[in-house]
Amino acid sequence: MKFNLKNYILYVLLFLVVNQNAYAVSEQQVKVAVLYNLLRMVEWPDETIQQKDQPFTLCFMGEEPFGDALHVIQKKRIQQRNFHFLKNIALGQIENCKVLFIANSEEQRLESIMTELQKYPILTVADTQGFAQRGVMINLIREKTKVVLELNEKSTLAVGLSLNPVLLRLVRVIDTNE
Amino acid sequence: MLFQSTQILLFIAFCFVNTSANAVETIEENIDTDTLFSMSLGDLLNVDISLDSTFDIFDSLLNAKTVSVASGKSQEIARAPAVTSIITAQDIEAMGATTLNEALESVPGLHVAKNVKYQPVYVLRGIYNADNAETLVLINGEPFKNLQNANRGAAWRDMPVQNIARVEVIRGPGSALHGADAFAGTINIITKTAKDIAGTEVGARLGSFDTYEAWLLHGGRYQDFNIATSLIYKTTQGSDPFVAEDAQSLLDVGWGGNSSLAPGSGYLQENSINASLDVGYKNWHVRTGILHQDDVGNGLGVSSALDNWGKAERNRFNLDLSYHNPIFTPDWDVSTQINYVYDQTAARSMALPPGVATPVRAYPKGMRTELDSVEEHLHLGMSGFYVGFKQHVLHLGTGYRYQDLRHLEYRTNRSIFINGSFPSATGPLTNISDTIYSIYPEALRKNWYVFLEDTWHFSSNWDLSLGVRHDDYSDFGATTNPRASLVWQIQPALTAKLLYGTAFRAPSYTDLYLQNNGLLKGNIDLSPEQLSNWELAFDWRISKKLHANLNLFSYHIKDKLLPVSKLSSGRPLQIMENAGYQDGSGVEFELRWKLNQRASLLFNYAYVNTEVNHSDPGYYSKHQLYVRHDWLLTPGWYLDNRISWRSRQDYEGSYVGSSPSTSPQTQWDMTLRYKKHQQPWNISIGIRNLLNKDNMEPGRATLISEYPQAERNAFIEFRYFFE
Repeated sequence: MKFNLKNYILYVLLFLVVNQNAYAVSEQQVKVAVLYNLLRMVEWPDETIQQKDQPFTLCFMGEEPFGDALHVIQKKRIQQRNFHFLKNIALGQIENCKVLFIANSEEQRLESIMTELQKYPILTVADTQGFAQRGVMINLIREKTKVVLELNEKSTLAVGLSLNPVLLRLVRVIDTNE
Repeated sequence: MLFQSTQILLFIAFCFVNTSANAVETIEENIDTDTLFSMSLGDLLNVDISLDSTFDIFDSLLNAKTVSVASGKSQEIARAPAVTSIITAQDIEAMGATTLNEALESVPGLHVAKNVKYQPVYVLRGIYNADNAETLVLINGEPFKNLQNANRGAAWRDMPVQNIARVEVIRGPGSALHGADAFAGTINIITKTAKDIAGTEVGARLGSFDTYEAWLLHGGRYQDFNIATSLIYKTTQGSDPFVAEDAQSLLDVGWGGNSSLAPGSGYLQENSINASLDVGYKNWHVRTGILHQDDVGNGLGVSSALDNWGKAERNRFNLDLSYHNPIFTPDWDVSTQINYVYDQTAARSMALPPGVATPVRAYPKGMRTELDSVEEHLHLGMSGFYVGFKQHVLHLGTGYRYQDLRHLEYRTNRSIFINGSFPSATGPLTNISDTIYSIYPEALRKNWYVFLEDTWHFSSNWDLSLGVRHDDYSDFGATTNPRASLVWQIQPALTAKLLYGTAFRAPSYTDLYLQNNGLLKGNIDLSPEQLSNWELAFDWRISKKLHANLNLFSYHIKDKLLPVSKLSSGRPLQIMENAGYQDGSGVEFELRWKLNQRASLLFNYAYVNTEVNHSDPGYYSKHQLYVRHDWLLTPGWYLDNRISWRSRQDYEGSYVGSSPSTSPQTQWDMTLRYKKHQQPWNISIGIRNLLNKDNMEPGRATLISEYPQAERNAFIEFRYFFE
């Protein structure tokens, strides 16, 4: 019996034709849309005029989970500013971040990261179960088929970030582990 | 033949057209990105996420992935100073890969060949050796290899995948960071931690060849402790590789007689238990593991003569303690580690079957040997990243390895002339350990090393890395291995890298000390085998849905460790020498394509051309092609198809029986999985070698010229997960 590569190609092509219209909304797409929406409800303390001219820097520490879904907000603006992404940054590079997404891969060193972050008015975001309890301000987690927003209010207040009351009504407030 | 390929394809196409129509109807939500962004936060939090987010292999194939094996620090693949590939736990699940070897076939240019005992030979870029000393396997960054053969142990064939979080592969040299044997490539297996498991999973798999597996994984956080544990049990009879003639068939002709066990089948049975405990506490991490194997058959026999008596048992224990503080001071990220391995093996083999009469003597019960060994390895290491110089990241480290073959017991009935007589051919085996007649002495290897690498981000689009590692060995001397890489981010979506690196393969104890073998002798004057490699690599994100990478390489190996025929005391004998060179060059190409929300395609192709001492060594494939297609049929049902195709070429040598086939090798594997979000069950069925091809791996030309691989086989797997 001879393997026929043509048949396999045919099968792949056939499938392409049939499947082009299929569409579904993914967890990552929803999380990115939620993230974009909530950034509009956060105020950062004492921004200088000069800072307001600079792009809005969204930093990622560890393995960024959003992939394609993130490209969408690259084209959008926030507070009349363009987005600027800094991926895979080290602890020493966080100064210019407005938002720091801490990936699941940083789980082992989360405490060290949080200690260093206390000096900066940076909104910390994650998508890992238990991270809000450990000091991350906003945690986007999935429960069943919905995205849930957890907020560690103590952490946001500590660095002087203020949140829109609408946001406060939609989040689940979490206490820090002692 | 039960199936015809065309019929299978038509069947699939038919199912596919039918089920895809249903799938579209079943998707309740049909929201595009613009709609999502126009929704209020409150509405967004009410959107149902479904379908492929349960098992999002389609996006994850294209997500920017990070590796740590390339530089010791996590960084994006595109900018890492080496050519790397990643296999995630998600890939493994999507492929339905049941073992490490199966998962590794997806790496461009990597093929898992088999030696006579059916142990894996991870062939990269045409660099082949039956012990596979040229490819370094690491488990959580620590070498998984023994001193005796620089392989993974006499009884090791494969590793279960249930506890693997990811596998990182460097194609090409890595000695500037990983030291000895990171030569043709480095495979780093990273096991699951508490967050990777996050709950409890129990599972079972039943398969062809009387294969039964059961496992339990648990991971969770208990106060400040992250605890993960795994227990995996497997038993199998293995495929029965049938050979018409073996080495003894040839000897029967020369010596007269009929003692060969061929025609007959090889012995691939095995029982194994893998257990692990992983505890993280703040900056501390303890990992411990136990590997137990028993009743491990000898494949087609250590001397290429079928062996129904031989088998091996192994007990390996490892303990790793590490401390990592990413902000030891504001400029220092430091790590330190202690690793300990205890590895005990009892292997017995029958080199010649019962009834053989050699010109020297008769062996009514066969020529039998028992080899018991214990190795202990201890490693102390410390390393750090320093970021105090602007635009520079310095990585430096030092360590000490103490490796001891501390116990070796050798019992045999071979015709070794001891004090005027031979050991009894029929009585108990004679213990000749710790004598000059033993196979090699108990011995010790000590190794100091130091390394330094600077990565200079001299502009936002350019990185220059220069690194060097010096190793000093107590038994064969010192070696220094540099590497350099220049990475240019031409556009945000396109990266080019120019890489240079050297590597060394350390002589194993067999290479150095083997004696009284009758065919092969070690040589204590050996130097390490040396490789230097140039590489040009491109990583291109063509679109959000299409990602391609391409690399061209050219290497030169000198002082290659090869057996050379010589006369010793008037008798012909093969002696290990630094006797040759190897030149190779080639190209590896990979395409990852997210076809739509419910399907993805991975394609890779590799070409290599290599010569050892002016001739083609044959044992590798010049052309290698791999296609993997993942497809969400309907919500909850996933189908994965993988096809690998390899060319084969003739290799030099005279063959027993017919010469090996040079026709290409094809394997088609298929897995169907049922998995739904929030449902604890995950069920899959897989068929391997769907077309039932008679695939072969190259053997020893003069003994058994090719080793038959498994015929069509299948499994069914159940997993149950609870938090």
